[in-house]
Amino acid sequence: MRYIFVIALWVLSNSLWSQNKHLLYNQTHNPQSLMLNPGAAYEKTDFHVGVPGLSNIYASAGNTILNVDNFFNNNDFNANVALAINRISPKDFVAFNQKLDLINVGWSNGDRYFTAGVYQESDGVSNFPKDLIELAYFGNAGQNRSYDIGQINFRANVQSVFHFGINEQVNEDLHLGARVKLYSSSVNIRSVRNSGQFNSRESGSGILLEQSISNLNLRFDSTGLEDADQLSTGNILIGSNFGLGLDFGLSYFFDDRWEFTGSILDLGFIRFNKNTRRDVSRGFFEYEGLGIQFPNFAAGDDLISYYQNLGDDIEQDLPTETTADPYTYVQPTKLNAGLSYNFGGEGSWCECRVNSRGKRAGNQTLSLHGFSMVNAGNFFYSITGMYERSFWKTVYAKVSLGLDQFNKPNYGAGLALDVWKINLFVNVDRLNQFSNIYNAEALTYQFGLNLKF
Amino acid sequence: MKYLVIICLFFLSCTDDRPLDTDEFEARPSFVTNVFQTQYPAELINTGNDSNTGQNKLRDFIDVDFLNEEFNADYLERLRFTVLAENSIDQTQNLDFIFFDNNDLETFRVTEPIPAGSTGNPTLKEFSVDLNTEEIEIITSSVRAEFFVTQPSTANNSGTMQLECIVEGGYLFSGE
Repeated sequence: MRYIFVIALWVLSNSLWSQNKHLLYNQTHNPQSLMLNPGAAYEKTDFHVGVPGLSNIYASAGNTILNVDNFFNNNDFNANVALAINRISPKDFVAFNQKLDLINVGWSNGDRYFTAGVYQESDGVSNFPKDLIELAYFGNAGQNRSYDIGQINFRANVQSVFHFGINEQVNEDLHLGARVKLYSSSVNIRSVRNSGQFNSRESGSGILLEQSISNLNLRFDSTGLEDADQLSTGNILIGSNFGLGLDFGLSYFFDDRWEFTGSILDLGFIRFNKNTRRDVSRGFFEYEGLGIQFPNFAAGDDLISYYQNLGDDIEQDLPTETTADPYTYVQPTKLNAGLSYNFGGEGSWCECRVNSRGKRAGNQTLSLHGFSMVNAGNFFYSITGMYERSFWKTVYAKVSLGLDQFNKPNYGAGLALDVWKINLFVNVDRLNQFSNIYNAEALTYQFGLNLKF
Repeated sequence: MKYLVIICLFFLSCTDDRPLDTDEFEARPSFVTNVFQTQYPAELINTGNDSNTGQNKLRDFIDVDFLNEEFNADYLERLRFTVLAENSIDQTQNLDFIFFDNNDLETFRVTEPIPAGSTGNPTLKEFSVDLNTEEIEIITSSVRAEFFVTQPSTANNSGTMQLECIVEGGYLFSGE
């Protein structure tokens, strides 16, 4: 049970495409879709408000390579662990993402629709430092190799985002949107763009090993870790470090059937300058064993503190400089692009599907969605095909089939209820592995409740 | 956090009934590192370096309190010292490695003679010491080691003694 948290991470493994919310993307009856594309052709209700804390809930964690079945199957558990270590590469990573919409409102003003609100979000990504995992699991005895310390690569951030957006219908064909964001954060860690090797090789003569740490440039930036125990909910909600960001989006109807959408989200940064700490270790150190000197005690020589001296030598040759220097955290910018084809019969008793001058035709949509994001040097992307059908302009069902960088099929489904003043949606991804999620590397789950007036 | 728990419960309902038992987990890393190297001439051991011990003896002390770190006490299960000696002194060199605990009580001793050699034909000897579980338990209480070298009588040549030592430690981390 001590590993239950690790197992839970795998069980909840759904963040490879964690910020790829393709099932919500371009759901024009749902005001939350404006958060994915501020230029979406959202039906312009007079007003919407998200139910605080329930308007958009998202939580995920996962990794690119391993699932529960890799460890717990009919084979020996320890053999599975060794096999898993062998399978991973430094390009594989573990990631998590959580988002909680706190306030979300929107109102129309002519051809413009304004949105504002605040949400809390945390996300993190860490590559598997394969060499160091192998060093820890197997040790260096008999390995005769180098270990890449530069594989240490991670970052994580907890932030609150205050946002204000404008969505404007420029003409019958074109919607444009933009959003300005104020980020605030009290907790951030990162260690990226590191380098260094731990070398442990047999020498040409004798039994001593050639052991060294070379080209070390290891940097660790953090904010709020030293006084983490004093962090309150208020500190997390309104952090002491601030940044700015922008979202842009558009929707363009080529005709009443074909629509192109696109958005770029979180083009921004946070400047961390309060409660910051930066540790940088650099240098080269070679260890050839303690040099026993046989001091002349008869002449009054003192004892030599060999290991103390070794520690001093390490500190001298691999100095760690600790400062409170500010640093800039660049947000993981997301790109969305979609192409939709609308067809099928018109709804019979409600014209509320899309009020953008009736441009969208039919009650069915076939769409293709692409997503990409870079976080801590890791490239996330996916391509998903989707089919959506509305029933009585009230119930919206959506199914998806996606391919990701691992070329694994991914079935998803979404269901939304848009009735009276209530918009309720549930989206679930990786349905093909829901029968036994022990085989899943990825799952996505999203829920939201909003009121439209 | 409560949402994570809810989602976790939701997902756990979509699983088979296989046991997620990690009690069998065992990691057995083995680490090897240099310990020391030294070289001394015949003249030095002829004279000795400590008035308390006299001629034909050399001694030095190494702080080894890292051995009794909790990490070693809890997980160390194999320990092997390997020494390579090259002796061109024309006297047998008797090596003693003596470990002491915090109360200056001897915990472990390694004694090994290195046969005499000559400057043109040094004696090479490599030996290893494998510690059993009980010995590991004892040696990990050590904080200091004495390196003590003696020779039976004064050397008559200008040879040298070279020593290299490495240690390999095997650890066991289990899921139990």
